[in-house]
Amino acid sequence: MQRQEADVRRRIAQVLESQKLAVLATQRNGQPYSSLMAFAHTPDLARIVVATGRATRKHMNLLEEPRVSLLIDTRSNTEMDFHAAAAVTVIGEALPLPEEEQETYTSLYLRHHPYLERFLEAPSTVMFLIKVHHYLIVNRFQSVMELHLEHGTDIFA
Amino acid sequence: MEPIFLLDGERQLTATQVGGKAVALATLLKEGVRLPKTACLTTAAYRQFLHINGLSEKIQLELNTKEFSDMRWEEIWDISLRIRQLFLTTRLPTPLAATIHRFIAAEFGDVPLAVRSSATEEDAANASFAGLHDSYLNIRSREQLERAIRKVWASLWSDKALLYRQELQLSVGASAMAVVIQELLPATVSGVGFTHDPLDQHRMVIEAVHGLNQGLVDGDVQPDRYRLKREDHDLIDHLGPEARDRYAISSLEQGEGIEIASLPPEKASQEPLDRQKLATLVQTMARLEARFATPLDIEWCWAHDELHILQARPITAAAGERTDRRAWYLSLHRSFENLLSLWQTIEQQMLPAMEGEFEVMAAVVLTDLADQELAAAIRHRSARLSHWSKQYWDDCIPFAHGVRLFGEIFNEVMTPADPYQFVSLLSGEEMLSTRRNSMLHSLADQVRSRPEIGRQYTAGGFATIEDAGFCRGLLELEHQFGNFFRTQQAESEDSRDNLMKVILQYARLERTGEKQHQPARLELEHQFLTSLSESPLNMDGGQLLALARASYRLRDDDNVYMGKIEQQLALAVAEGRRRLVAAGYAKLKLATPEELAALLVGEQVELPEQLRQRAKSGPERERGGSPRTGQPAVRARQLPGQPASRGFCRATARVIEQPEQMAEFKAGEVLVVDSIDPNMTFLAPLAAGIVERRGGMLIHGAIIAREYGIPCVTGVSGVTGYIRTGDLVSVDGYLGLVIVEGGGASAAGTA
Repeated sequence: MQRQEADVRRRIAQVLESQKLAVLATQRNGQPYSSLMAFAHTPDLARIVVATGRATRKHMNLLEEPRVSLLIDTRSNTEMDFHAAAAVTVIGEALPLPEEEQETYTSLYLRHHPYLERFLEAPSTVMFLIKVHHYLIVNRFQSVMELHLEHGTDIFA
Repeated sequence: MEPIFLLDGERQLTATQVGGKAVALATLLKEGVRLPKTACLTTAAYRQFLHINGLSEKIQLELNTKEFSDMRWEEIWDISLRIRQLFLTTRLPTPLAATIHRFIAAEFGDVPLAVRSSATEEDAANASFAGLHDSYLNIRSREQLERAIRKVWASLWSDKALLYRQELQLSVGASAMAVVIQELLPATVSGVGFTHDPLDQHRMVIEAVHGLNQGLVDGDVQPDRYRLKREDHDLIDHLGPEARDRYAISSLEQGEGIEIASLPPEKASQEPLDRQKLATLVQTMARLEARFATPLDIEWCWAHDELHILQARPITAAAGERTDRRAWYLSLHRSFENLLSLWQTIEQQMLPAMEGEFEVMAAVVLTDLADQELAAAIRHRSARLSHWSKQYWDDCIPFAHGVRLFGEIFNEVMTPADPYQFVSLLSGEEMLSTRRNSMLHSLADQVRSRPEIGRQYTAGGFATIEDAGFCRGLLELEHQFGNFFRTQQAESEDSRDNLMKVILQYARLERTGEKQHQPARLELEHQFLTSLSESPLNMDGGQLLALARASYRLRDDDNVYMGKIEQQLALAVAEGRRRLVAAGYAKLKLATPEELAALLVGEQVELPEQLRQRAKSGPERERGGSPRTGQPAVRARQLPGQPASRGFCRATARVIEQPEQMAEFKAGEVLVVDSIDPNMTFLAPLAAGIVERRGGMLIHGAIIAREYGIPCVTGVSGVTGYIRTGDLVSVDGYLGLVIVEGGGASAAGTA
């Protein structure tokens, strides 16, 4: 079982490492809303950090409803994707980054996205820390595995 | 290929590896021409620097905020400033720096160096890049060398280089910069020579100065000019300069760069080239032209009693328009010396002359003039406006480069995180527009303390206000700053009623006292002056700062003076129109001043049957939006522009498209306009934020927004088409974004 967990963790980490962008899903009043976001993750996969302007819809949505989902995938937009692409779905909770953790996560984010320095430095940019509840990884078309970092029931249960 | 090596005549080199200039110099060496000792740092070194520091994507993000063709020159300068900042604040990779220093120490010892650009397209036969990229002279220390290399690399992205590449349809992304490093020769005489005189292909022309070439190239030292027959090299004539009294020398102390010094009297009386030297130079020029099989532009110098060639490049085949445009781009970059003389011209001559003309015009009682006289006044004012408009382009716009020069030097010395920090050292000087706004504030104070003024106005308009002191103040404001609502007749009841509406809005503002810039500003000023004096840059910080402040202040003031002349023309035109309407003429709305003047003296003028849209004389309007009625199918949610004044606000928008709409502006609204003209900036103290289609950090809206500390985003394409009055908008002056939440149709009204 431990070996399987290590394998799933490795595969999830590979997908996260290989990608610069994720699709973030938020919602307001039951209306889903998705946005393309630059992201960075901690090596233990427990946290993902994103940043957004404070006048955006997604920012308002996150303040009202912290439960989020992210999609990160390796598709190349070819036929091969059906057997070769992997997609990671993240389920978690997004909260404004606490002041005392700014430095750690700013440097993590900038290591992945050095060109976004000016964006990140702007006082109108807000960073959110996503505490990951669990991951789902899909590959080989329909193989789906889950990695639970927090003990709990299924999100839809 | 090693990243740095000495040029010789042996190696096969391509412009892709070492840039055009290095290839041309290698060819000269192959011909046995005497050159200063020359090394080349390859384009691979430049690419390595970009790659290791992740700079490529940062540059591309800067360049791609909007369509390049949509950008004004000022916006391109802003981008170029930010890119330059990236190069200035990023260090060379350590192993590369070590390789360079080892090589330079071994090959050049401690002689002063010249560090020159060698871009991949440079000096190709079909395009001249002369003057587009930067060179740095008299480089003595390792630190100076590293900085000069980074600045030469950055000059690939200078505004003039970006514009010129766009004109030639060259991809900026594909170009790269190599660096030529040469021994700086102690030249006694130097100059340039054209193997074909651009004005007459049967002649050669040579320009020569005492000392280093830089004085001639920058236009700070006037040359002696020699014209010779191409056929037999006979001297046709020699034209001495008006004053042969200065020359460029390399500073003997540790400072880098060159100095313009007084020429010793024994040299001042002497032509730089005697006949023997002239003959040697001409023969060499002819030989090189034959070898390259194309007319050449050659930089040369005499040092250690020998002729040295510094560079030789083809004279651009397709001269004409292209070369002319390049000359205009280049003219925007002025040397410090040149800017000092422009400052004199503008402040001592031009502005007093404009003010004098304004006073004379304002003293004329237009209603007393006979029709003939009025027609003459309209023509005269129209001609004067054209005259001053030309002066404005020739002198005032280039003088604005004083701010840019200061910004570049400030950033180089201070390397601040915010590349616009320098503006805080320039702002706070009293500008005419802030003085006008202070007068508005003081009238508003009177309205607040004497509420009957407001009540009387509401009941019967300006005419019913009884407070004599207040009315005098308003008339004085009108006299000093002219008409605020240009399409309405100045000094009319309508215009004064509108001015009252503005004053009532001012009265709603909290008076928080003037902005306290002083302590922080003095501290920053002190830091800058100290750092500059400790830096190797050879500049008088106090004089530079004074020049930059004048440049910044005049950038706004000169427009106010222009506005006053414009208003005097508008007054005469309005009087002419009034008489013509009274005489039964119709369809005058779009008639030009000249057409009105002609009608007044009884000439036949064909006025259009239908209202026709004349081309606007101002900047071209963009139509980015959808029809203004109903809810458009395409709506903007977030529009990118430039962050021109820091801050953030969320408020109701008011789109101003006609001058009389300004009177409807309410305190706390966001001002949305195509371009703020200087006569509109009285709205700034009322505004929560400013959004402008026209781009740039130094345009009026941006300057005044920073003065008042309100967020401002400029360069937002098509903004007046996308935003409607009443829309709720957020203005992000940190990132240069405008976020539109809509609601214009229902939310119209006050904030």
